[in-house]
Amino acid sequence: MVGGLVGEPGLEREGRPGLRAADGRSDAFRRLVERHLDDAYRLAAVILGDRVEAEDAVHDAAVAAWRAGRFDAWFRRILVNGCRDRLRVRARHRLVDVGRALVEAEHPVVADASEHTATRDALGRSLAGLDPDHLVVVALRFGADLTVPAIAEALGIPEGTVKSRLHHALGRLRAAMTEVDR
Amino acid sequence: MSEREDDLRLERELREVLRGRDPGPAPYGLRGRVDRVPEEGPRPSGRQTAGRALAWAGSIAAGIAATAVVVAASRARDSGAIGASPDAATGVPDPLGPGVVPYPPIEMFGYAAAVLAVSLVALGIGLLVLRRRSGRIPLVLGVLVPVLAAVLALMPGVVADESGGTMVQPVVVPQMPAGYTGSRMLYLVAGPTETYDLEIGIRNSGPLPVTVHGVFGRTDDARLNPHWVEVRLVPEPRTPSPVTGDPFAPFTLAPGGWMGVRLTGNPGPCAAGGSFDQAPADTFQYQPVTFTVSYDILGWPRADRLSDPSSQLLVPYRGDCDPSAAASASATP
Repeated sequence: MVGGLVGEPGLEREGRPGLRAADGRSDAFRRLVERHLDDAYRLAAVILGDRVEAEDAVHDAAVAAWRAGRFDAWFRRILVNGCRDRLRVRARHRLVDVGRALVEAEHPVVADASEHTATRDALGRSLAGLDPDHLVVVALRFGADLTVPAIAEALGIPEGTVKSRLHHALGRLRAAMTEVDR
Repeated sequence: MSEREDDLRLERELREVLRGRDPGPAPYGLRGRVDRVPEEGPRPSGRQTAGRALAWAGSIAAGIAATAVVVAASRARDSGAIGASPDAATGVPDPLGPGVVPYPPIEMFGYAAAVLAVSLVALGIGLLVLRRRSGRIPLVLGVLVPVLAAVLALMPGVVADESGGTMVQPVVVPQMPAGYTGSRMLYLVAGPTETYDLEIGIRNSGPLPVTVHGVFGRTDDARLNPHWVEVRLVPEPRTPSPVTGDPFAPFTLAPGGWMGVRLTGNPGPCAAGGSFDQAPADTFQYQPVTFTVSYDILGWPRADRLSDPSSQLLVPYRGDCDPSAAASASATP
């Protein structure tokens, strides 16, 4: 679904030349961007659930990559960490959808043909309520189809931490799904 | 539905939800923004630069301050504390060794804790401002370390304790006016070439064990030179009296633990001694006898200035005394 990001050795090993001398480096950077921008954007969007924020996150990560002269797996880590920071900021300024709560109160979800929709709606809301660290792991696992070791490498954390976060996150999501089923 | 089926369903639904978030290829606007990144020559914003500089400056300043405190505290210990300058051969502190000075810079110990705590707070703030990839560890360290330091610096420690009684000699107990309700007054009347004994208890009033490293003499008046010529430990309240006790060595007091300290002191060259007379009050001035106990709580250095809790112990001396002349006179046979 959302593919991986790989680097270009030439760009990684180059120093940081001045802007006038950076033509070759700029071209290499643009080639890499062209090759991986879609994946980066989709990954950010899956994590953030917001396309505009995803664009900003990718841009910020590109700026960091250009500044550091690297565009390898490190770029994905920068991107994912940037998304996580944005989730944290969002969590501090969480908005409550009062309209949705009122509608649900008046028109409770019933288990019929729309069951799938109700379940996914509940899961979406439960995802939004997850701890940013947990949400990132879930998005990388089930959105980007990364393995646990790949997630650990992408985030720079131990595999045990990834498993623990997945366990806790799935527990909450399962509870949300079960709630809809009742 | 079994748990396994539940898990499979959850995964399936979760993938669907996340797939619904997939926006497809990057929009044209984003491509343009990212393409312009090399041309824009990204530089840290002024706010970022200032924040990083502040973080680094704070961290460096905190490190320097902490180092200075440690150096100053170690110097104070080496120069001034009885029992803090252990004999190199035996490791046993020598209470009468050259490290015993009349005016030890004991304030260093008192201030070290506070300064070090402030330094650690500054260091913690520096770490917090310095945006790290993993923000939780610096956050936890930045908060917990200063809090722990503050707790260790401010928690109850060693106090003077009168449960074992206080023994002072030679002493004069003045006749107080009728109706006097203040604390008991005691005048030490040992002469410049004599010594006096003070036996007093110290108790650990805190919840953690403390290790006592030394006992300091203390005076603010240069005309007096009160210092201990012997420090001994009396593990049990004084029965019988007087007791000899053991030579001072650093010791640990459990919470609520008690230790008697027998201090043999010299009152200094200007002490009135046997010539003290209560009647012509204007002739004499008085210096309270206090002592400072240096100790640590879990390695955190502390020093508390203590005095006899049951009475005011005063050394009478002549106000017009020249300390150097008096010292010469007392040294001459």
